Amino acid sequence: MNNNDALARLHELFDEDPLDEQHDEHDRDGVIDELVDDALLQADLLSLSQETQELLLGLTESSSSLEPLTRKRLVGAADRGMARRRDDASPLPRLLFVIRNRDNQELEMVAASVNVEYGMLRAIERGECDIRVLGAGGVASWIQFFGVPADTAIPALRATFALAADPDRASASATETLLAEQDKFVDEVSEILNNA
Amino acid sequence: MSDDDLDNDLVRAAQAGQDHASAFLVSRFGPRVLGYCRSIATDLTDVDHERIVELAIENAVRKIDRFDPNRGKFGTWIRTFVLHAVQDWRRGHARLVSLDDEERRISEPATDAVGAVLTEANLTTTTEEGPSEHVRQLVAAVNEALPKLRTTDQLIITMRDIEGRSVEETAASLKIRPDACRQRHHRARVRLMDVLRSDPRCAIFLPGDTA
Repeated sequence: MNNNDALARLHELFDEDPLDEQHDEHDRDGVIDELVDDALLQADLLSLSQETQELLLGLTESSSSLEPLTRKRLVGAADRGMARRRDDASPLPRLLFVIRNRDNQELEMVAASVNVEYGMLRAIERGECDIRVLGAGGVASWIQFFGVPADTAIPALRATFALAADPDRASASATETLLAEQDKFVDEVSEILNNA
Repeated sequence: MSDDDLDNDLVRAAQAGQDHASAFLVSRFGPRVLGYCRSIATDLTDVDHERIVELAIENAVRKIDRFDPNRGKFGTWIRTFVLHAVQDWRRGHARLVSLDDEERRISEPATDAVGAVLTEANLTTTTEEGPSEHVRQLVAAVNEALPKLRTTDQLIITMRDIEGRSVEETAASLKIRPDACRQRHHRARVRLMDVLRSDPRCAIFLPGDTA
């Protein structure tokens, strides 16, 4: 929808909802309105109706040309996004390894902090040992140590089990069906993280 | 093939992990995203705009699996990341400029309509762990309430409250007078509050009005 079409449609809609001749602005409730203001700042534009989205794009479209250097930086940002997306989709031990490596943390220190034997954590990180030996509490502590949000960690944990079921594949989907006991384990970890 | 089809193909390529999609996404959306950032953050510098757009693009691509074309266009979706990147940028800079203001905010808790203290723990939107559960519920309620409003109400709330445009900027974009813009915005907010009052998740924020 171009700008003229959007304006024409908008004013049709305004005609259906005319303004009052007498308009008294009521006092706004400061605290409540501030909370709603904060919530609106976190709103998702895709929650708007399709017509509103179309009008918004039509009425506020603006474009800036990209200098070659700017374009290069933006492509670099998109590439980093692709790389981080791949990391996010990793099985949990690899995801936590990537974060540990990025943060330059020693595994020995991590093991001590989450109260796990160093050799065991190293074996799990390398994919040589089933992550469930840590117990749900141990896995949750490991996740929490690195501050990984539950909505990233839980799909990674699911991917860990899916990949273990078929290690010949390069990747596994976090939505694949797991065995009942694996599902239960994921739920336990999830509960701990969500209640923390 | 329409522009929307091309965009959706491009998004699918990125969702499939095809690295070439990065450059095409930037070619297709970079100029518009940068233009959008400049239009909603007119007080910031060009260097700030570019850095914000970098962060927005990185985050949008990282979470591209969550984009659902049935809910709208990719151009709309990526704007949300720009909005949030601008807010993060402002918050980060505000902290640097004045830690005093933050301390004052924490030491002067607000009170809700029934006089109970709305504590930092249950209401703040800016804890280090992210928004509290109550605020998450309110955000979810707002996201569900918005599409229930008239199109014009959604539009004016988006431009004024979500994008942070001034009355004058909004009025100019909508080709209406500033006082008409004020009145329409006020009415839209009243209607939004009415919808929120009927949502049980908002009972803590709007006590006494929820069934």
